[in-house]
Amino acid sequence: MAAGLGFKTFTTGEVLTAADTNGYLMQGINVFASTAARNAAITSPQEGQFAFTKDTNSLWYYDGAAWVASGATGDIEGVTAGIGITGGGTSGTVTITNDMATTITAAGDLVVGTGSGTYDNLPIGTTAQILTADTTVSPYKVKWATPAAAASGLTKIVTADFSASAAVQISNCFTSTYVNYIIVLNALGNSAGGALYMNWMTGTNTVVNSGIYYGGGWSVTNSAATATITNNGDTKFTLAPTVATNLRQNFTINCSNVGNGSQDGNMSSLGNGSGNGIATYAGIIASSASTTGVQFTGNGNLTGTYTVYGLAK
Amino acid sequence: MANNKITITDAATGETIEREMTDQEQSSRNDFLAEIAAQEAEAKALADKAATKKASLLAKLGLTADEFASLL
Repeated sequence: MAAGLGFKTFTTGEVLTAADTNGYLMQGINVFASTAARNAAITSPQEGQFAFTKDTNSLWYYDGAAWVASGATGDIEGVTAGIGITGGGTSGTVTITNDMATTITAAGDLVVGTGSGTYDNLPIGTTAQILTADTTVSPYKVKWATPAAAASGLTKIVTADFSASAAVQISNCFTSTYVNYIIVLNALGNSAGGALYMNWMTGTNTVVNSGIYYGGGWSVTNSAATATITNNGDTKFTLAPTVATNLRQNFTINCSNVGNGSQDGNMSSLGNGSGNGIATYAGIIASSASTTGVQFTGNGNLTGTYTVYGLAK
Repeated sequence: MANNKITITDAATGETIEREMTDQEQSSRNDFLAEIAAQEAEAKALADKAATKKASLLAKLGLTADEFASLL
């Protein structure tokens, strides 16, 4: 094939020579229906010659020995879904999907390996559970589990805020899991004053309010003499007397003989006011009914936060 | 008038509910508060009576409280 001469604009009356024909006119791209049609029409292809086949919309050039698909064709001829992927294709717009994402069916679910190159959905556990390795669980080898009670130290059992409540009850917080419990009252406000009372509860939600509470203590403020607190067959423990309206106090209450069968529930309390009041108290109830919960009341409405901790045996 | 509010948490389930006190609970609370108020009133009356008696004795002795204290 003759070497190309480039581009030329012919003028009117100009003579078309053989060199013009070979150098300009024969340098175009020939279009065929297929490669078979191309090969039949061009029996002696020349190096550098181009052809286009319409059946596959392919562009070819002759390298001197064979027809070669030109670089205009994309390198990627198909997308095949591998492990963890679905979808794919060999033409047009191809969509692939992360199969792990579609394996998840609910918020909080986890994708867990079930073997070499395999996985499955592990549904979310319940509140406060932790993920635990367990080789006996098939096929996950892990599971959601409620943590065991601590072998030592404090374990938080329950905490909650309360607002403008005449009574605050915490039921079923004492069980045989622990021997001693600590209740912390934070930022306690009392709309009618600082008096704070406490009752034991039994069963699922029964307040013990008969006259069987015995105890004593004292309170002091920075503006009044020490005052004693006495409960002698009263209907409540008196943790702090009335000392100031809306006095914010923090109480730490130790509870023993509760949640462990037939024992007389007893307690001791230390209340620190917001700079101008302190109250201590210790008391016991004259009843061996198993104590399962506690109620706090004030001479006004209570606002604050409580937390119950179990002290490991 | 609406009854006072009570806040109840079940530590076994972690569920907290707020509700009005039943009439019986409210009555029991009112009785207790009235009893406390009566006790406080009684204590105040006794304190007032003692203060009055002290002032009367000091007047009969012709001494101020500080002068009486200096004699002890």
